[in-house]
Formats: sequence, C-alpha cells, structure tokens
Amino acid sequence: MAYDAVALCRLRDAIALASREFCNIRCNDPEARPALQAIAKASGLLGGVWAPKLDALLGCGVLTGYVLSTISVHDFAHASMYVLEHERSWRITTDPLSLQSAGLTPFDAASLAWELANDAHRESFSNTELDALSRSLGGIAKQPELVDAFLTHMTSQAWTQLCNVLGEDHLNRTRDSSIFGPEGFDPADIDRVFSNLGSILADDRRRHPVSDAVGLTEGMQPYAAALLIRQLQLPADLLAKASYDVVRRSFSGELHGSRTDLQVPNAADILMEAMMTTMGAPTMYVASLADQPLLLIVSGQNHDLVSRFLQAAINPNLMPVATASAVISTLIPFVLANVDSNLVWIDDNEALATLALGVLTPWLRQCTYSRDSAWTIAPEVVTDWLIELVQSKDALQVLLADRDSIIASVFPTDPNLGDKELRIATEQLANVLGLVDTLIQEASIDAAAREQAVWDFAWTLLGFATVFVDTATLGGALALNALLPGVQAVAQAAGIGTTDVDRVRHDLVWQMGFRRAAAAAALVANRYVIMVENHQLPEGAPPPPRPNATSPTPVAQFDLDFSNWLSNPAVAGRNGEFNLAVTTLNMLKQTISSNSDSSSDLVELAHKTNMT
Amino acid sequence: MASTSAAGNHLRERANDLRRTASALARTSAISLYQRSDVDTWIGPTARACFDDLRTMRANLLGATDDLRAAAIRLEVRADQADHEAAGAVGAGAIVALVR
Repeated sequence: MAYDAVALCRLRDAIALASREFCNIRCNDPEARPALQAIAKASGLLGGVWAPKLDALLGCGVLTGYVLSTISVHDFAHASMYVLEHERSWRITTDPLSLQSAGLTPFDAASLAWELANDAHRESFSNTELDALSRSLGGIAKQPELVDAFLTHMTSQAWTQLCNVLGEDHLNRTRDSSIFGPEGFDPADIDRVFSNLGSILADDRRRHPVSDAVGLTEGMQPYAAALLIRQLQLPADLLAKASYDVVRRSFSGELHGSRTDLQVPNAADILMEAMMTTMGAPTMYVASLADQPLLLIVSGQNHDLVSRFLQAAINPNLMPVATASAVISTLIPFVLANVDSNLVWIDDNEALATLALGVLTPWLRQCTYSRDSAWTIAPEVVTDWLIELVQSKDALQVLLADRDSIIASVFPTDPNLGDKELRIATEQLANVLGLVDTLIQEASIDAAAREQAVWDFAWTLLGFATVFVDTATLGGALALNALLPGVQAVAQAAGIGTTDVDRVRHDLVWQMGFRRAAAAAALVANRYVIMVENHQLPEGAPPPPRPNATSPTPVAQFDLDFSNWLSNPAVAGRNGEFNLAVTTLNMLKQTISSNSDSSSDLVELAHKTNMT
Repeated sequence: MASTSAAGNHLRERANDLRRTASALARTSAISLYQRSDVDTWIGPTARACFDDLRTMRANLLGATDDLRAAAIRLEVRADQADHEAAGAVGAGAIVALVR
C-alpha cells in the first residue's frame, strides 16, 4: 500500500469533523428514526473503523499491521509503488488486506512501463526479476485496457533499452547453458519475457492495425530485435520483411562480424527458425534476397538450419517458377564459386555443396520436356552445375538418397493420365536418364561403391517409370516402394539381375544401354499382360522378347527381336487390327531404350574384340 | 387568507423540523468524504476498501435525507387536511347559529 501522508492526514481530519457533525444532528420526530439510524451507522463506520485505522497507519507500527517499507527499483511486481515512492514521495507500507489484493490496474501497467523506461543503467536481470517481470507483463497482455496503459508510457527508446538488455542476457545465458547446462542460466526465462512483450504488441496490432510493432525494433541490436520479432505473431509477408531488415542491418556496418553475429544461433538463425513455422514466409524472404546469395547463405551460423530453410523456401509448390529461376541462377553459381574457398562455410564445403544440390534437384523437371516458359536457365547449364556438385561425396549421397523427391519433381502426380501425358512422362524420364548418363560419364566417379550407388539411382528411375506408366494408365495410385521389387523381379527373371561392382566399373555406357533395354523390356512385358486382359492384344499373342545378357550384342539383339515381335501377325493381327496397341508398346520401348542405344553395343563388341 | 388550525400548525412544525434535519445531514462533510479517499491520497487494498465504504455511506446518508424530506411532505399534507377539517367545522357552527 502507498499513501500521501499529507493527504491522508487531511482524510483523517475530515473523518473526525464528519463524526462531530453527526453529533450535532438531533431530531426527536418519530418519522426521523430511520434517518437517525443511518447517521448512527455512518458515525460508527467513521469513528469506530476508519478513524482508528488511519491513526494506526499514520503511526505505522508493527502491531497495527502497517509497517513502512521501501520498494527496490528492481521490484517489477510493485513497479507502481516504486513510482509513487520516488516520484511523489509517498510512503509505502505493508497492507494487512494484501491477501485480498485485486489484479493489475491500468495504473500498475503504466507504472511498470514508466519504470522500465527509466531503467537506463541496467545491465542484466536476475531470475527473480525476470519472473516478476514475466508475470506482470503476462497479466497486462491479457487485458486491452492494461495494454493501452502500458504502451502509452513505453517509449520506443524504452523498448530498445529493455530488449537490448534482455537480448544480451539471452546471449550470455545461451552461451553459459551450453557450457554449464540450463540450470540457473536458462534462456527460456528470457524467452518468456519476450513472449509476453510480443503478446502485448500483437494485441495492440490486432486492435489498432496501423500500429507499427516492427518499427520498434529498428534501434535494437539485431539479436534482440530477432528475439522480439519472432514473438510478434506476424503474418508471412510482415515477418519476411522484418527479417530481411534485421539481417540486412546486422550484415552492414560495424555490426558485421560482432560476437552476436558469429554465435549459434545468431539473429538470422532465430528469424529463419521463426519463418519456418510461418507458411510462405521463407519463400518471401528468399525472394527478397534473390540477388544477394551471400546474405542467404552466410547470414545464418547454423548450417543445417540454413539448408533446411533454403530448401523449404525454394520449393516448387510455393515459389513461382520465375522467382525460383532468378534465385537459383545466382545462388548455385555463388556456391560453385566458393565451394573450394573455405571462406563461406569454414571447413564445411561438403555441406555447402549439399545445400546447393538440395535446392536444385526439386527443379529438375525444368530440364525436361515440360519446362515452364518462365524458367530461364538452360538445361545444359543445370547439367553442368550438377556435374560440378556431385564431385562432392556428400552432395552425391544427397542426390542418391533423395530419389523420391526427384522423381516427384519430374513426374506428374495425377494417376489418371491420358496417352499424351503418358508419352510426356515417359519422355521426361528419358531426359532424366540422359542427365544421369551425362553425370556418370563426366563426373569421374572412381569409387566402385559410388558407381554402384549411381546405378542404383538410375535403376530406381527406370523402375519408377515402369510402375508409373502402368499405374497411371490403370488409374490406380500404387505405392512405389511396394512395386519396385516386383519390377526388379521381372527384370531378374529375364536374366537382368543386378551386376557386381566390377562389372559396373567395366563399361558404364554399355551398362546403361543394357539396363535401359532391360527396363524397356520390363515395361513392355507389364503392358503386354494388361493389354491381353483388356483384349487390346489378341489372345495367344506371344510374350515380348527380353534382352539376353549372354549375347555379345544384347541391346542390338533385343532391338531386332522386338521389331520382329511387333511385326508378328499373332501380335499385330493378320489385318493390323491391333496396330494401336503395337504402336503404344513401340513408343514405350523406344522412349526408354531407343535403337540408337544399340550402337553402344557395337562399340562394346569392337572393344571386346580388340581386347581379345 | 386561509385559516389554520392548531393541529395543522403542529404538523407543519414537525415537517419543518424534518426538513431542517435533512438539510443539516445533506450539508455534512461526510457526504463528500469519499473524494478525499481516492487514488490521489492512497492506493492499495485498504485504500480501496475505505473508498468503497465511504461511497456506500454517502449513498445511505443521501437516502436518509430523501426519507426525511418525504416524511416532511406527508406531514404537510396531513396539516392541510387538518386545517380544512377545522374550517369545515367552523362554517357548520355559524349556519346553525343563523338558523336558530
């Protein structure tokens, strides 16, 4: 409780005067009895209750329940008392009725703001202070009238001052807790304060849309600004814009390279983490930094987070093709220019290459037949980038491990595709296989295990194509992983089992042609069964041929056998009545394994002949 | 000028007494005492309780003044009736005397 001693003395004197005035009121009329009872009651209240209480309070003794106190400047739970004590010279006492204390009042909220605004010399907060501050701010955030009272007295300078101190504390606690454990140094205590500050500003912005909560962060240290911004509950566009401003600020002028800049997490890390939880924000943020790949990659210190963030942002489902084209066309060359320099991510170049590959592979479809007109990067350029990137062992592993997303990026997902879409999808597959061909031929992959991994990758694509074409035509959405073994079984039954590493190393180009022929055979074999069941092919039509691995020219032999099979009247019909099915099967086979592939057979045969 | 009766005069004196009491009560500083107990004087649970008590007391006292004034009005009405009845009795006596 706080009181102005002079004013309270006046109140006590007024009570005494009123009591005396009551004594002078006399009336013997029986009609006045109720009124006289009211006067007697009032007299008892003044003379019997409040006069003694005021005397006790002004006397301030332990036995009366009122004891003079002093409020500390750090006592945020009683900020309003502190203001009254130091600004109005009021007295502060313990209050016997404090157990019946009501909640915060607007005056309490305004006083807390006033105290924070006049706390310029503070350097840190104790746990007790943080707890009291957090509780008071939490109470204010729940009531709009308290929010208004608080914000009225909370100047932008006060915001800067408070958040900078809290930010510095957070920084120290984050560092200390990583060394000593969270006990006593938990940065979460400060996060709670920031959370309540954010709730106060968010409530204000909801009721007053023109309020510029983000503008308050302009004078703050980037780290402190990031801690506050992530609590403001901003929509994606405002969050992206605010993050952009903070990151730009932290990487310009004297702040760049500071201690806060180099620690993990730094301001950019904090903001990227926040944007990851707000749909669309990463994409908007990256788009705004399209021409500044350095900032995109270097601003954050948590390399794993930066990778995840960029991949989430440059996502074909969220980012327009033109924007992605612009971002990627600056980002990938930047990575390639720095991947060996050790300057961008010190001693983490593998991760850098992996990041670039993770960004690029979801867009491989733009290297295929159905390229979007807004995509401005030539397919050959993308191929060159891939060849450079897969020189990194880790990046290659990402490429190989990320088959599903690559496949998803290349093939349409609608299972109810018509003949035209089927042809396009198959052609896209052929394009990607061509890309893998190029990678294998030019990437100087010398380790047998890695060669095998690349082959597995190609095999996955081939297998998917087989499954995809069938399921799409049938209108069924079947799981890729469940069907792949079946496809491989078909191939293996034809004597096309997985070859050993030595054989793979023997001749990559020849192997690729052979595997394509095997995939085409598996694909045609599956379609053959379906077409017979649907009476698209005559009953009793002989099964399609399969390549023979023991043949000296298996691909050329397969081409020949396949042509003969198609022209067989038992397949095409005596009067060509099954020509439509024959044409479809030929298209599938040719797209996966064209006749030109058989030329590699001849080269291989010549090679073997020369060797022998 | 209308004549008054002894009974009417007595009732009017009582009414005046009640009005004087009501006026005295309304003039007491107790009516505005709550204003000295607001947040410019003190704050806290005890201060809030005092302020609330004084506001309640003020309402009770103002209610009492209203009651006193209402009682005074009732007495004045009864006084007028007493005067009227007394005048009626005097008029009837005069007619009887003339007839005789």
